[in-house]
Amino acid sequence: MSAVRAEDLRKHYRIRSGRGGEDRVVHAVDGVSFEVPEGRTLAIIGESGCGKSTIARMLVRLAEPTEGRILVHGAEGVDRRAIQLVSQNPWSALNRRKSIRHALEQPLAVHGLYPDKAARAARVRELLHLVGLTDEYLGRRPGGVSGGELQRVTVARALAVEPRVLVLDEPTASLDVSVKALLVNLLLDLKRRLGLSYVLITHEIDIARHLADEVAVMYLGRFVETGDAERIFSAPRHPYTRALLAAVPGPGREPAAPLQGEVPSAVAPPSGCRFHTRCPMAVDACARTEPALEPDQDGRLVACLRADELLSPAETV
Amino acid sequence: MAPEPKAGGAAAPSPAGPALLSVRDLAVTFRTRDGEVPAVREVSFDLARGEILGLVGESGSGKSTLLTALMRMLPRNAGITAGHIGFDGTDLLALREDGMRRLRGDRIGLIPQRPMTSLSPTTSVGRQLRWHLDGLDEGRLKELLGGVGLGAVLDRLDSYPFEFSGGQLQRLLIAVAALGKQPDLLLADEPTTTLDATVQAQVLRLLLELRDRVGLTMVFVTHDLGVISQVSDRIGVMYAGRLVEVAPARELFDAPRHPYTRALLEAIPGRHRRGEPLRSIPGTVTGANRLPGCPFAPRCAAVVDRCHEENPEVREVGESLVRCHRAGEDL
Ligand SMILES: Nc1ncnc2c1ncn2[C@@H]1O[C@H](COP(=O)(O)OP(=O)(O)OP(=O)(O)O)[C@@H](O)[C@H]1O
Ligand SMILES: Nc1ncnc2c1ncn2[C@@H]1O[C@H](COP(=O)(O)OP(=O)(O)O)[C@@H](O)[C@H]1O
Ligand code: SF4
Ligand SMILES: [Mg+2]
Ligand SMILES: [Mg+2]
Repeated sequence: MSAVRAEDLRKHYRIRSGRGGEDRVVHAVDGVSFEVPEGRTLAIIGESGCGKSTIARMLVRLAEPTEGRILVHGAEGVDRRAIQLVSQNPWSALNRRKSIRHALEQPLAVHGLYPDKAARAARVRELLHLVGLTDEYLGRRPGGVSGGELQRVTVARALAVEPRVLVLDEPTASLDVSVKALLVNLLLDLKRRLGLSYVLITHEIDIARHLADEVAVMYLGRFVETGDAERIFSAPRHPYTRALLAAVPGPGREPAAPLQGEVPSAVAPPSGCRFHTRCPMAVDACARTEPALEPDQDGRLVACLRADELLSPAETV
Repeated sequence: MAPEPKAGGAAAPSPAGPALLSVRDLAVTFRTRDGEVPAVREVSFDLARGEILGLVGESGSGKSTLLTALMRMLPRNAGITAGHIGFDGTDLLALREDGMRRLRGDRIGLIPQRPMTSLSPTTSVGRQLRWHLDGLDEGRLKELLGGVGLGAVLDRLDSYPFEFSGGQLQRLLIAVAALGKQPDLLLADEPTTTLDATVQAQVLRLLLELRDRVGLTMVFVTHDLGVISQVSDRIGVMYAGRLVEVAPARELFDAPRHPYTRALLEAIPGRHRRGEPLRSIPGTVTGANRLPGCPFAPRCAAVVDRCHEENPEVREVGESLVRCHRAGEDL
């Protein structure tokens, strides 16, 4: 059974229109399906604003899908304990005026777990130890703890209710390289020890590459390429995936040439292939026909009318 | 040959001409319930017009505090306790608040680390753009937003901040601070952390182009060593409130001198096999700013007795300035 199964998920936001016109609709997520096998990690990568956090919010039911189904360990009903979110910014996730003890007790209280006082205190300490922190942190407030340690606290808090799936929305952003490494190691270790499954959203390709079993590449509300992480990272197929990976900065390289053309609006997504307005490979048909995600010979799925032509080794970057 | 120690607040000389910004022995302290916390100590550097200084360092090492101190926008429980900030001949610390406000308006810009907290949640984004940039006409607005890849949200500027993604909000602030106000000095605090690689490349190109075209001067904070190597002329490395190494960008990567800088470069992922534990620097920075001696001593691979007793002064080694007792030795 899959840890998470999402079927044709959509989230459309209705927004007020200026000057008395009709309301318009933001197509934040526009028909994505995926499965995360138990104990595995799916990384979702893609352009800023393409809908990644919206998927995360739907998975943990902070946003109601406009359409589609979400099953967590086979169950469709809302089980807030089974799947938990770790959000990007640990400072805004925690109350500055409350202690770390409070941050860890709160989810237990909300779910009525460990009602006995001594048992609850023991559980809080256990959670802290799980993420490699000591009892001395209990009395501290978020201001008195470093960013990396605070992010561990938010992981501990997400684990308090014994979820089976963690949704990690940019968990390592704004941490320095060493602290980032510690958090990545912690996530690998927790996954093994607790049998967790992860949905990981990140802009850091090297982090995705290190943690993910599978990857889904997203552009303007849809997936354009999904499959085995190693295969996609080492030989990206879709023109957008190629552009994205080619733009990853490295020492001694100039900033990559940006994609041509305007980023299209999620209010009025382009016809045909949504990437056609900026795609270096686009032909006339791309503006008319929407490519479906089709299996490639190595098992990955690619949504591109010219996918076959992108196969030849001479063309793979 | 042992390098000559330099005097206490030795500045990193900027090779590119007279300084636009000159910081000397700056110290910032937070008053907390557990007493005074020094967040920035003895920081000195010069920046020439058109120069870009990259800043890296441990989370909590004082990078954001340094930038907000330069803007004189520290939170109420913080204060500048020592030092001097010169900006284009003006002593910023002697300036009255109204004079400072004028400078902030059009000569020194800040892209803050957390966009969500610097926007009003209850006002439409379009109105906030107009607060910051008065007399903004449609054509100019289109140009500003297009420059940061936000042309797509032009038709929904009457929406509120929560209706945009994290990266979209960050780009709005970049458009305001860098393009809209066209400052002489831009302080950018992790400006591209929430952006994917293609949009990030677009923003970096835009900032570099501003530097080339109008001589924009920048302090650029980031944890991304790939990004910092692409944008910086010089790189400063912070640890526990101190600038422990300042060197030309190439020099820092080719010949890192401070043990912390070396450890940082070794922790870059991508040099590891998938799923293997990543290397990190053992120990924690917590408490380091209360120790006598070198703040990195408890975690340093090259530590000697002296490091625990005496705080190292700045030394010049080749083109680098390093705060380490063993700077210049072959380690
Ligand atoms: N509450 C909302 N109302 C209207 N539009 C929204 C709302 N939340 C998000 N959007 C829009 O939906 C799209 C997807 O947003 P989302 O936050 O999921 O992007 P993202 O992929 O996480 O981006 P980033 O990488 O910048 O964080 C964007 O165009 C955004 O402006
Ligand atoms: N509002 C505050 N109150 C008390 N201490 C603070 C506050 N903001 C930052 N600090 C402390 O100042 C130090 C530097 O923080 P900061 O400048 O945010 O670091 P960086 O930007 O390098 O991650 C840290 O020890 C941090 O805990
Ligand atoms: S379908 Fe056409 S426009 Fe879309 S990615 Fe493929 S080649 Fe490019
Ligand atoms: Mg997001
Ligand atoms: Mg900071």
